Amino acid sequence: MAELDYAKLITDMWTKGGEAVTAAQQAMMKDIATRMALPGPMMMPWQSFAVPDGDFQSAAAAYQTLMQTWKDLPQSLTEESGKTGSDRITTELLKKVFDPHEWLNAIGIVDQPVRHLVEGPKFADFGHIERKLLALMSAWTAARAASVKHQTNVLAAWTKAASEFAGKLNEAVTKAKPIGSRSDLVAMWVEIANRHLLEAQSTATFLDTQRELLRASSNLRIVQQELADLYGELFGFPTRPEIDDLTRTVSDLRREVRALRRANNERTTPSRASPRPKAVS
Amino acid sequence: MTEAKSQPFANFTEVFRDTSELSRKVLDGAKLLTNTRDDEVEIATTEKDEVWRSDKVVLYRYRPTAERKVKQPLLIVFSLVGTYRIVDLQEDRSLVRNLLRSGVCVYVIDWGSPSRADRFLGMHDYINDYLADAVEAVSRNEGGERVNVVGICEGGTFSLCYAALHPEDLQNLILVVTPIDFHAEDAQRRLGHGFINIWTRSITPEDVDRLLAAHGNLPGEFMGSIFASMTPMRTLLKYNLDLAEVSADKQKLLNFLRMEKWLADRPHHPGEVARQWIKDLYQDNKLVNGQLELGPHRVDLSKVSMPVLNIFANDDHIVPPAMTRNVGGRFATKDYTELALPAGHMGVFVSGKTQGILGEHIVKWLAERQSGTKSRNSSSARIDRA
Repeated sequence: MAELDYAKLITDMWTKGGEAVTAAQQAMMKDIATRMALPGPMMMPWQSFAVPDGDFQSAAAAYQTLMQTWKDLPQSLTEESGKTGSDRITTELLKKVFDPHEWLNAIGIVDQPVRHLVEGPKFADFGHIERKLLALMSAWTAARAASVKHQTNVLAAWTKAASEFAGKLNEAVTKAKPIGSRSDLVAMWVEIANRHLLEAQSTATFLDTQRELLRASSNLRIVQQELADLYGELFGFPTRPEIDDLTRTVSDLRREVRALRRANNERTTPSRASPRPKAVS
Repeated sequence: MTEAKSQPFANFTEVFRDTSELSRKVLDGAKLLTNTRDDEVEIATTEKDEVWRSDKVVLYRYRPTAERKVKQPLLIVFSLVGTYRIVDLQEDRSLVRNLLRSGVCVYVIDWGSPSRADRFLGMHDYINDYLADAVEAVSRNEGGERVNVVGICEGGTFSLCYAALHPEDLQNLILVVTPIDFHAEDAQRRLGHGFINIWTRSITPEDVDRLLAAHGNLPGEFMGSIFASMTPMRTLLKYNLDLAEVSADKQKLLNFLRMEKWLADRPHHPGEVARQWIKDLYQDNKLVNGQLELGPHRVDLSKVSMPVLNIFANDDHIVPPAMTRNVGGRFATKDYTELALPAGHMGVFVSGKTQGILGEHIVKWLAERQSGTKSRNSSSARIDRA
């Protein structure tokens, strides 16, 4: 049960974490949607938290004008070139060539992965995390279901024990075979309950549901680790496979050190008159 | 209808008195518990010195308390499932103290507390490295003497494997409640006995792999819950009725608390050891089938050539006697003795009934082999103290 309680705590933690992330995303998206719906030109990202500083506002306005000028430039060129018979392909090409956003995107070829690494998740990742969260919920539900199924078996054994115990008590009343003391009563219950529980433990049904519970709880733990590892990769924490990889390396190295130390001991100070025999294989 | 037929108890006054008495015990016990100091529940207090260590494994030598009568040193090898402290639980329940009093030089291996960092340690590491190095260290510390090994439970299985792989290193081998034939429990089916055998065969090898992938090691709490489920009502009543029954008597209460302290200290089982322990031994019974491999070596029980004393507990529900008895024919040695004790798995070490018997028999058996009363070609024997 402790394992399950532990599992539940972890699940609760991740569920709450997931809810917090989702809530934050919802707030952000809602904010973006609100801004987009505002009349007039779309506000620049910094405008939402810019201090009402005259210079800053002037610079921002100048930036917007500059961007608009560059965007309008190809259109002007096209209009002029249209008089000389230029085609639509050229227009689009020019538009791309002069559009500052395209420049930013071109620079982004290099810096996008860098920004991704430092800024954390993008939309595609959120979907990935959500899938992991769903897998976690599914694993948690499966573990709870397996637990309930197994507990039902245990409860059946308790019910049988309680039924037999009630029968004995009834017998004590109806057949005038009174129970001597509290200790006798407790001893009777312990014997009956113990017997039924132990008998139940050896049945195929009990072993089946116990195995299913073990599988479900192992799976839940693995899914938890996968989610934790995903966050680990995003935010730079060592993941379980990385730690295991290191652990294996250290174990291998320690094994080599022990072997070297042993070889050195045998060479320098033999412990017995006869050399230590090799393992018989 | 007479009054006797209308109620289940012979005497309700007696029941009320009994219940009142229990309530009084609980109150007295609560006072005693409040006044109990940590040092009063210390366990494993016999004085000892560290003589060697490797990674988390430490070898201790107990300080002698009597003139030495057994020439060869004795090394106690406990299971990884619990800690060696059970062999020195308290002053009047201590195999270690009994052996020291009889003039035996006693060493013990402390396997430490494996963490997830130890998940890749396998039986090969524990038997051919740590145990081998500990035996070497004992021998070196004792001027090159061969070593007597007492292997307990899983530690007995490790010791037996070691004896088969390195027969020249050991003078005598003593196994206590040691599983050897992991499929033999069917011969003696007592209710609740051998549940671990049934459980481990009810899961698949893939289940074992998934369990270890999930946890790295076999968690100590997990094995604790398996043991607890083997005595379900005892577990349920332990902290209420049992505690109430002992709480009025300080000595009994301290005994109870010390045992609880040992039970609570259940180390994790290193992942690769657990994998081999469950799959190769409990599921496939490879030790007696001659298929158990430790690293590059195959364990061949017919190489066990030193005298063997095999001690088991008649009421052992964890290692039923059938799992350990009648294995003498598998060894090369003709000097094979079985000793049956009237106790449960750990009761062998802490029960009042067996206190003294275990240590006394070990010393007597060793002394006979030291004096030459018994040669290596003596025939098998069976002693039943049940």
